[in-house]
Amino acid sequence: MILLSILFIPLIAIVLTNIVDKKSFYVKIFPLLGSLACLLLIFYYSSHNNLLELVTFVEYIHLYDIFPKLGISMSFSISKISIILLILANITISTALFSTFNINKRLNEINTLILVISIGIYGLIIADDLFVFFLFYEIAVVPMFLMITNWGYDLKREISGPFKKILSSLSVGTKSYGAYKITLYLLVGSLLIFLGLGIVGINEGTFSITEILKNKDFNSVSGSDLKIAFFLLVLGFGSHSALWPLHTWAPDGHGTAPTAGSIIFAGILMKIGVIGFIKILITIFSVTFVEFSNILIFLASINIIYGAFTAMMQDDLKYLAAYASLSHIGYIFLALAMNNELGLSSAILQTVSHGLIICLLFFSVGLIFNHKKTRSIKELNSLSDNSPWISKIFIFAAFASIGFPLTSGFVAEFLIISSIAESGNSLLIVIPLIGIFITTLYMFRTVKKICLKYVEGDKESSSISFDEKLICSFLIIIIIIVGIAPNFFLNFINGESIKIFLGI
Amino acid sequence: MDQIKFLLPEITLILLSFALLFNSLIDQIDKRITNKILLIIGSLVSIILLLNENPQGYFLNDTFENNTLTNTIKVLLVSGTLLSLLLISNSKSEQFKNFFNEYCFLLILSLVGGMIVVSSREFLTMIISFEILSIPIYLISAMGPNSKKSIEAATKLFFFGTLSTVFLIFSAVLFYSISGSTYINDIAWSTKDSVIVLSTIFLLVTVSFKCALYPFHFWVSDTYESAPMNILPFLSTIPKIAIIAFVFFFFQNLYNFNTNNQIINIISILIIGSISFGSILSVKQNNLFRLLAYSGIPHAGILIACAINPLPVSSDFLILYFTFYIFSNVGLFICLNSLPKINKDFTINDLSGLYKDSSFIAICLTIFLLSLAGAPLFAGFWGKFNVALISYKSFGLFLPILIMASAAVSFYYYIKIIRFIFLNKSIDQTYKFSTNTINIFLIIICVIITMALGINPNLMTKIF
Repeated sequence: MILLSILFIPLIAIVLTNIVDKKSFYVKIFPLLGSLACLLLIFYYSSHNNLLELVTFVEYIHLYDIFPKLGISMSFSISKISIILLILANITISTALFSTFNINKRLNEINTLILVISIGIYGLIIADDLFVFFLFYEIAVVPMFLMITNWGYDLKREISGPFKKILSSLSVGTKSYGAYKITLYLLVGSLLIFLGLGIVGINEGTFSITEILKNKDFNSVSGSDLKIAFFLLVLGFGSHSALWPLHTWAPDGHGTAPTAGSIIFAGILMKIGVIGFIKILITIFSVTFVEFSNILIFLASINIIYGAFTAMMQDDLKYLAAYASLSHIGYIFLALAMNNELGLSSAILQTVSHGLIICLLFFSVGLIFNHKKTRSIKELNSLSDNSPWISKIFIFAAFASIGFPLTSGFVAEFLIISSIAESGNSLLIVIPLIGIFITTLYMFRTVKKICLKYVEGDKESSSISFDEKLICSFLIIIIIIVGIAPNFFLNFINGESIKIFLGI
Repeated sequence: MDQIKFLLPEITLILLSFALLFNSLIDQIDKRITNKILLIIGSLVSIILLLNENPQGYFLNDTFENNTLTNTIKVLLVSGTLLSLLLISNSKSEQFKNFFNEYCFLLILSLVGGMIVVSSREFLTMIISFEILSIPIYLISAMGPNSKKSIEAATKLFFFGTLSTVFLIFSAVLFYSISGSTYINDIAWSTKDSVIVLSTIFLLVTVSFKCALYPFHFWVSDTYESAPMNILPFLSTIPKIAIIAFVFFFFQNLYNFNTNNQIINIISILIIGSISFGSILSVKQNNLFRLLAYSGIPHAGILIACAINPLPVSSDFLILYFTFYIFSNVGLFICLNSLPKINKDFTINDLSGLYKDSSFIAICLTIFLLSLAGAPLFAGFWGKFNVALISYKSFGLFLPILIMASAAVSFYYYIKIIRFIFLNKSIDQTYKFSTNTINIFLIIICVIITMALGINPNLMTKIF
């Protein structure tokens, strides 16, 4: 019950942030303190309930009925898996709040939007009711639009080709184009999700996930409407997590968003779709999911290889990071489609690890843009001479996203590959290996070009501030801890808790 | 005499309207204060009568019916009218200062018509109450600031309105010819005669004209643009809600007979047309009032979809949607009325930089717009999505997809307005805001109701 106050702590922080003087230092501090309080609360909760030693833990909270006649109620359930996702969400939100430090334009408002998004994400992770799940889903999606239109960047993109007239009339590359594209994708996606959830709930007579899981007949009666619901949900969650044919919002959105926006997109918003897959599709639709898992394997493979190849072609660092995260999301789906416990736990670990790494990558790209005023790989050089801190952070982020040993990426990718081996389709191992190979290629090339290549005459040196150093070292330490001692995290997502989660 | 007490709330309101009219004849230093006091006391008395004293059942030769549902709807109608009349009483313009009592008289008469529409269970009373509801509106819409334009709009409204009444009478005649009775409960829905389809079509013509459903929506943008701005909160909610409640009661018996699907098909054309065309028409609008006028069409379509739903839970959701629609809409128009320099040629661009000038109005406006769009944690979210859920249960997958698509499009055009509100640049708005305390109080009431229903929508069923 006490954990529910993480839905209210950000509200207090929002009020405090908007009361104080807009120019004062407290505008930066209050949101961070709120986010930190949430983290402490999560730790307190897990130590209070002795989560590290308990093998199985679930807490149901029923607040009040919303529509008893339709079986909708405001109810939450907290398991070990949701704790680990909450920690990830909290770290991402804190990083995003740090990255807004050097924004001078209406700082209190952008922090308010980030905190609203955080409420949505926390609620989404612990929701037990399909309708409540959707409610928090929408809360997380709507503020993104205002964030990009007001704090985004206009890109200078050359428009050419046969559709020049149409594309220029749509003002491709500007921030409003990016904002509309992302909002339409996410809104249409969430409406599809609503339809899917509504079909499930109405056919079952209840919207509670636990109740539906208890009802064993659900999967055996899988009628045509439920198949439609399954596909609607795959489309909706897929468009949120940039599954292959629905990915086109991701690069444009990332490119035009402010740094905080990119961090939240990649770290959390793309993970919302994954959480939906884990929380609803795998549990409720377990039979249908196994039936159609081949399609998901196909799409995930395209995601991995297509994302990696496209990232290779990019000149803009943000686009590179966006396509790289597209490729890494593919690993998660590949692991999920394996239909074994190892696959699910490795998918969750990859979700956490990719969230952390992509935060660091986007944060370092933001640093480069703030100091050098460009994100083009062609124009950047000799970073390690001019600004050693930025170059070190970027190199670490690049290595971590390759999956270098001692980082969290290595553990996650290793587990994914072993889950593929366990499932019996040994040939599929080729796909993540190709992905890792190409990622290594483009990351090394970029590091060599922008950090290690030295050009005479470009002497403008710059150093980063203390708080930026603080958050980067914090992220680096967590990534290394997950890489060296994954036991702590794997304890939360081992076989027993996954069985509880799946309702077996 | 025994039957009179069934109609006590309506009689109170009629007495109130005459009292207000006579109040203008008496010489006073400040008429406005006595007007406000009279208005508040009269409306509160009628609300209290509706909540506590009103006996339930059929009365006056079974021509009227009072039950919990009608009482709830009437309370909503009276409170919506009270809010919009209080807004008018604060108006700064000379016209409203001088003719406030006449406006009040007409609007309260129209309200009484709406209340009788909700209760009427017989064709003659129904026709009379429809007329009482609409005739004051014809008069008021001619009183706009630009008299030439508003007389044109009012003439349009009057001609088509009377024509639609003719259709109503004709449909009553046809219904009578089938069932041999003027009572709505006696309509023989199960008859195989095609006359019943024809008469339903005639009835639906009137209904769709009065609440601006798809094929008869053309008057709405002209009237919104040229009618006086202060009566828009009334005009956009009360007639629509009264008539949709009537539709709910009229078609209640339809599903008791194992009946022909033709009637449902015809209604579904209205629903599909108004949801899709309303959404498409609103996208292109740049004038704020035309946009708000057109964006009411999909709302009416969704309401009709809820009203003809056979599930028993649909009445709860109808009440929820009514509450949300009245308070969001009235709050929205009160906010717009408190803007300085607002006139009927106001485009969306003119709102830019509003947040810098008056952050209170900007935030409240955003709340109402998000609620109308169906954003979560606001009342509109539950309204739209519940209708989608129950229409999936009774009519299959097509209608919920349509409602969802229209919700997505409505997000587009409502967020377009919000974007301008929060835009940084300000277009030389050097004038000062003159929001008085009563307007702020009204806005806060609407905000509280919108937010409270958004967090716990079950509140409505608990109260009533």
